Amino acid sequence: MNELVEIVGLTKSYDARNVAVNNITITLPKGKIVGLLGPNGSGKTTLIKMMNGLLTPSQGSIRINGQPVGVETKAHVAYLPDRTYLSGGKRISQILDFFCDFYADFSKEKALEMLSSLNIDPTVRLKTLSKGNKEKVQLILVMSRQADLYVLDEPIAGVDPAARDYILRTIINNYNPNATVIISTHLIGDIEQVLDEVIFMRFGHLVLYTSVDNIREQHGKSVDAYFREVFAC
Amino acid sequence: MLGKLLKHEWKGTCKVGGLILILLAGITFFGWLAFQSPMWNEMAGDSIEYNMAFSILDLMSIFTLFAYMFLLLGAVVGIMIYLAVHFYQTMYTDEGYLLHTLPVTKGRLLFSKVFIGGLWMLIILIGVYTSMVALISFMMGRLLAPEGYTVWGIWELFFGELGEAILMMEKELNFKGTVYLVYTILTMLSSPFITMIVVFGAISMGQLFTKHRVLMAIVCYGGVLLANGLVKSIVEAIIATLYDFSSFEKVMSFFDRNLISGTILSVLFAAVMYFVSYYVNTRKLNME
Repeated sequence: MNELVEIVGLTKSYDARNVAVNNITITLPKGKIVGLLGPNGSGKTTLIKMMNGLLTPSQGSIRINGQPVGVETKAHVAYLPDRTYLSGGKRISQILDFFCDFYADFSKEKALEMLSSLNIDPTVRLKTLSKGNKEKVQLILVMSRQADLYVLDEPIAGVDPAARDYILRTIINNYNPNATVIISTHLIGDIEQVLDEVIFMRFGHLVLYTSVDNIREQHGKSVDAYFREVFAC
Repeated sequence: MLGKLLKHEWKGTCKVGGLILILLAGITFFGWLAFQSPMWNEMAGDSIEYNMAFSILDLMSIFTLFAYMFLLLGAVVGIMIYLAVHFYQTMYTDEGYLLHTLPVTKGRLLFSKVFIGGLWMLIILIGVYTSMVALISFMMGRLLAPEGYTVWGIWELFFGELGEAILMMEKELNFKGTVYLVYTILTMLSSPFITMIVVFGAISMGQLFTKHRVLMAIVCYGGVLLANGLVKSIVEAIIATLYDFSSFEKVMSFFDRNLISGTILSVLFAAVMYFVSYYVNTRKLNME
């Protein structure tokens, strides 16, 4: 069994006119880096939130490793939200202890090593760090887990190009090779080189799910160029 | 995992909780200052013929005592508001993304919040009672010292007299004093937890709305308190119609029934509100 994520008929609607995710059915295999791509408001974050149990689907189901979203799946999914979700008043070392306590697959040594490479002192409080460093700390926490599925929501949005390179390097060098990584972004050019597969979303619908090689071979274009063609205004 | 949740919840709240406890010590000192005016010395010196004229210091003493009472009330309301904000922040704002993606059941998550929240309310209430007992002891000791009483002796006398009064009422008026005492202690121990369950339940109810969730949580809190009061009043009224109050025994029996029905309603109310929080977190969670 190579399927890791099975999504069937997934819909999230807030009211009759506001359908954020509309009847999506998709199966993602293990061991791939998947780009979840689409313009703002296409439903990427809503889909990710439902995969992590932060939103209750209106219809449909999600199974990860054969399990519905719950305690079992959360133990094996490493999630990076698109916002700062850690309390600014806490010291980084306290946050590391928190992750150690709750995630059996979390490596404190690995996290400390990555923090050290960035010259971030683990004894400082999170609120004293710059926005970029806060995002890096959050990424380090996520990538220090040996998860089956990494779900990264806009990991490179709002940071400078140098930080983007660091973030992408950290993802590539630290993820569990047997795991699947889902990266949501609209900055396709920056992450294209690391992707195996892409999902295109628009207005809550699944527009396309294919491999990067397939786009290059069939359409003779980069993912970025093809995305611009598909989503041309 | 429950132990870890409790540990981190305690760590997350102990700074503010501890600060309020320190403030309570300060408030108690403030209350003690109220008894430093000459008025109290005169009262202690001669309880009948002391000078009836109030000086500014005496007036300040009275105001200080009022301020002391308000500050004590403020400490209780303060911890309740803090715990409500802490619950909202860690469960339903950006920080909730961390808690809701932990591999723990929603039941345990909620229990850890209610238990630590209730525990802090209880600690602060004990702090408030301690402050009041300390101040009363000081005042009584000061007033009655010339008559040869010690603080310990005054309390010994008070509880001795109270015990005798309860026994006499039990014997002659069919008053279940011991039962009332146990009930009072149990109520004092459980009410902080019930209070937090209701507050957290109202905040969770606010999450059922798509917009203005904080405002709706406040509205829900007012609404559930009103509904609870209304149901209790109706039950009391129904019980009252069943009694003729023709004898003291029947009046006491009415109070017994009221007490029991009130307790059952409070527990049921807390259970419903706990279920509301659990339901919202398991079936209706929609993080913004």
